Amino acid sequence: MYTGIASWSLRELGAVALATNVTIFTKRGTEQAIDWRPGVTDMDSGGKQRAYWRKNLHYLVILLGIWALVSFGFSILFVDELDQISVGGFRLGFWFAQQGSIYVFVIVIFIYVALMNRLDRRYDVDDRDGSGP
Amino acid sequence: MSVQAWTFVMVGLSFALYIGVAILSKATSTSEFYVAGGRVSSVVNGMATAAGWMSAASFISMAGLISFMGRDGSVYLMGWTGGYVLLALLLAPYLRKFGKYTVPDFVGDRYYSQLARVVSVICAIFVSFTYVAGQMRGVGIVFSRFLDVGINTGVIIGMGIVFFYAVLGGMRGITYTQVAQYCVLIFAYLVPAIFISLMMTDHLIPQIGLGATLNDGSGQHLLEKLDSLSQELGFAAYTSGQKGTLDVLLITAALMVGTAGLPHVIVRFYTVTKVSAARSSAGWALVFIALLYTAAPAVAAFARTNLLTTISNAAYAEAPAWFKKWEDTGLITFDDKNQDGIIQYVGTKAAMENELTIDRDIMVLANPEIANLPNWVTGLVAAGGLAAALSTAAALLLVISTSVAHDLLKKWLRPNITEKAELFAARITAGIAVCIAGYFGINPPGFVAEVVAFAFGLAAASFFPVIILGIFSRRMNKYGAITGMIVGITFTAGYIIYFKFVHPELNSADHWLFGVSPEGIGTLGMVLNFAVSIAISQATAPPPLQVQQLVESIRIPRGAGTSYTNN
Repeated sequence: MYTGIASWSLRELGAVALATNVTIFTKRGTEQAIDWRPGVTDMDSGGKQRAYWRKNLHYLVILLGIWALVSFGFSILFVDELDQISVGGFRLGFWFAQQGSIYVFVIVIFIYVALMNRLDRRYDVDDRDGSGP
Repeated sequence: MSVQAWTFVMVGLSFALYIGVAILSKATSTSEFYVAGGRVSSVVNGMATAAGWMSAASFISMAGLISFMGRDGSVYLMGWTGGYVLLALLLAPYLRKFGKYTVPDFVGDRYYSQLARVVSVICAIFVSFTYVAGQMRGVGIVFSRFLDVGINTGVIIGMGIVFFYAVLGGMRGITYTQVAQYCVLIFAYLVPAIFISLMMTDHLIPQIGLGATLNDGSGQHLLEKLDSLSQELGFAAYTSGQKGTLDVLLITAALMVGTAGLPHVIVRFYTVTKVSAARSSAGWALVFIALLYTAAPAVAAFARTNLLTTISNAAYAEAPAWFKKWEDTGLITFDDKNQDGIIQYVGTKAAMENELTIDRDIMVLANPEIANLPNWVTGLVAAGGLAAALSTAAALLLVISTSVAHDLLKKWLRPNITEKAELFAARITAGIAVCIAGYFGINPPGFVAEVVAFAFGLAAASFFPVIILGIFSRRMNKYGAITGMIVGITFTAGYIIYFKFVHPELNSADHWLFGVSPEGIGTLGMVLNFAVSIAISQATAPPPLQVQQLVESIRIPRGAGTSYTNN
């Protein structure tokens, strides 16, 4: 599966990262050295956490944009325009309103899950010992 | 075997299954009672969430509503699924990291205020009670129609079952019973859908059958046929919309945001093992919900086509058996206005007068009979309807009992209460709540549908902004949050009460504010809440340092796995 491949390649990346400190470019254009060594999980160091959070917000804006485009856009605001196009026995706008939007919702969530699992590992904040109390 | 015998068999088997599961998963601690110990796997939790979410409204009413509304029915389809995107992306992972047991827990701690906690407890209890009354009513209808036991007896049997596994098992019992109930309800929904899809279009998958050509030799697409059939009879074309665009948009948004703000949905994400599981669990929940929700429009279109072809212009004396049976319940009424013995079922644009009124709620229940499916399918649908109603009722009762035992007693009135006493209080409250819900089931307030719209509007205008701002803004303080909640609730509740209860005769587009119906007003309430919260919060002192640190900490997944040992 996709996540399997991703985790494998990230482990490779992690091995490289362990040997040295990795430089991250933040949006403000400054460089921040990030300590990737295991055991360094002190979140108060700030920079790493801010970078993680900013990346998360970046994903949220894009994915919620897709969510809104498909539901409020394709299915409501532009439904009549899309209805001019027929796909199989469906008018496209009607299909989005009653079928397609729901499929897109599911896909959006699983893309976010995959992106965040990767991001959690990359920033070493994943909840590894999560087997519960 | 007759329909009734099959219904007894199906309902009896499914009830035996739920009780067996409940006995195997009894709760022994408050953490198990409230959140199943935080040990539920992501797929299991997704399935339980789906069962708890899909109520009698989804199972019994929704396809019927779509059937009569055509394309506008998409407000329910998208509104009741799109909220899961918000849950997965904006709420679930952070609330899971926060740990604890309830939404008021989060509001109380994040806004360092007992007042905020109490306001949100009251909202949670109100929302849950309005919802649960509707479920009990659904139970009663299924029992009375299919088992001939009378609505009151039906409600009491349903109460007994819910009482047994919610009070005994708490969240742990509910979780595993809901998995069983999901299996029953999805099977019961899809079997007739697949049957009818095969009969009408030769396609096994109803979602594909909806867009396929009919197998009656005409070569016409199902939806084309339905459009032309509807227009011939003076109805609007099925695939066209009748509601105003803005109203559709705001209703959809209110239902989405309301879904993401409903306490019995949110609390499910406290039960998984870790933050990443909370995200994927919301995804799984939506997969399981989508199985039913994408089949529903197909069921709606099939049922509508069948209804129009079999009933319209048929001779009353030759009407099928199911028609007479539902006529007895008063849910179908025929008034032969022109005395010709023919059923004229026509829309407002037709030259003739309409003679038939059909209650939308019967479409799913009558569908197997309309399509001439075997009797066991009808029994299965009855069991599925009960599974949907009971699983939602149990989830809501748990929210009520947790709110009282945990949020009111433990966190406010009696902080020194022992765990054993708290668990006892939770069970007693669940018991009392079942009885109150049962009372409303037997004596329904007469406006259940309106009240459910109320629940969504209030959840959208109160919880959602408070939780979102609590996670995404470090600056948000208690003054902003409390004022925002109160303004949001007052505005939304005031608008709905005015048009639904005080002046129902004014409830039309001409009198609405900006043309927004009471169903969609929760969206404006939410916007108002956001605006007021942010403005007030900017003008007052920032929250204390430890609260700002709490916000930092819930944004980082690591460490959620151990949260319940710290309580």
